Amino acid sequence: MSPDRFRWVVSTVLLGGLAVSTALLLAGLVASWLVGWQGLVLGMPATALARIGLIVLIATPVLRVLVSVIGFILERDRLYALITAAVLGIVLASLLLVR
Amino acid sequence: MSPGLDAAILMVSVAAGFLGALGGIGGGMLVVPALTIVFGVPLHLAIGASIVSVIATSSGAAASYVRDRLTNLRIAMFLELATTSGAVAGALLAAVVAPSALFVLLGLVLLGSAAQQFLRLGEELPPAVEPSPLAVRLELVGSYPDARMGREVAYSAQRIPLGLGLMAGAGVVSGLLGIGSGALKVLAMDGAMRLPMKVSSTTSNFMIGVTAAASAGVYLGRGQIDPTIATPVALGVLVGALAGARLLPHLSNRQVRRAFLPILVLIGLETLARGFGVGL
Repeated sequence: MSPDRFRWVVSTVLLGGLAVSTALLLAGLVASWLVGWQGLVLGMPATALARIGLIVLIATPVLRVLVSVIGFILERDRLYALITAAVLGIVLASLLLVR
Repeated sequence: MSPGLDAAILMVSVAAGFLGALGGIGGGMLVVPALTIVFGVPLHLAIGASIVSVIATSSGAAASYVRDRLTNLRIAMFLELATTSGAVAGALLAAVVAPSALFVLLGLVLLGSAAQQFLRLGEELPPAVEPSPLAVRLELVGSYPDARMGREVAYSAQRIPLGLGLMAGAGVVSGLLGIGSGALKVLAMDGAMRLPMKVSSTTSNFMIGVTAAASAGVYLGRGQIDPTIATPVALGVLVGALAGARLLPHLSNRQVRRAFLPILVLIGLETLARGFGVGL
């Protein structure tokens, strides 16, 4: 993968994640005004819709890191594939270990 | 949460995002005091909402800077080792630190940012040096196209261990307070590692998202990211930040600073007073 292509992919992942999460959050917020936070939309409470939006938003930079691991592997940069994988490990640990 | 309060939180978040973008500090630092002091939102829920809004603004801004080749992906990834570790530690610590101490720390960070704004130096580049063996080994060298100078500017990171240490500190503050702590990250890159300002600020912005995601994971696991608060805050700060970024090129630095500094100082003092248990 060329450096420019790498940058394009990273940028697109960030924008895509932001677009999807913003749409879900907006749907949740508008639904909360119409039917209240506990009111049902698409078979789920408005809070659940918003919660999915928040999770997509939090996952967006994590996905960016995952894509970067693959990018560095394709660039055959072993050092940075390892460094990026370690960052991914730290972030995933924070998501999975704390309950 | 009533629709009226929802709308009020949305509007205050738009204002925080707008002012944050103008001042270059991000909306988180302003939204936490606004939520707690004006709306009486519990501190940890305010921090949880803020950290999510930080991810939104960072992702939006980073997406365009990365394309412009200003952000250095390798420097970002290397330093994220420190910021994400620090952020997880900070988020874990936030559960055991007294809220009054958090208010004091936030007040000090706000006043520190005000001082940094006040002292902000000119835009000239750090003096060029031979890349150190460590910088070469870690690939912490690069170049970026400078539109104003009309040429490619080469740089290499200096004082790498110091930069890494400061980044861990920036991560802890970010996790503790739910802010991007962009000012501290820029300080580490521009001040300690002597990277050009444009590379420092855009790389900092890029790193803020994943740093915030690391602590957001902890807040999420503890149930402190409440959708009824975090949703209007994230959307509001994002809209405000986009509007601020649009307006910024049309304002002079002096105008921005004159409008922004008193607000920053006022909120800083208010937050500090809250920490010491004095209402202003």
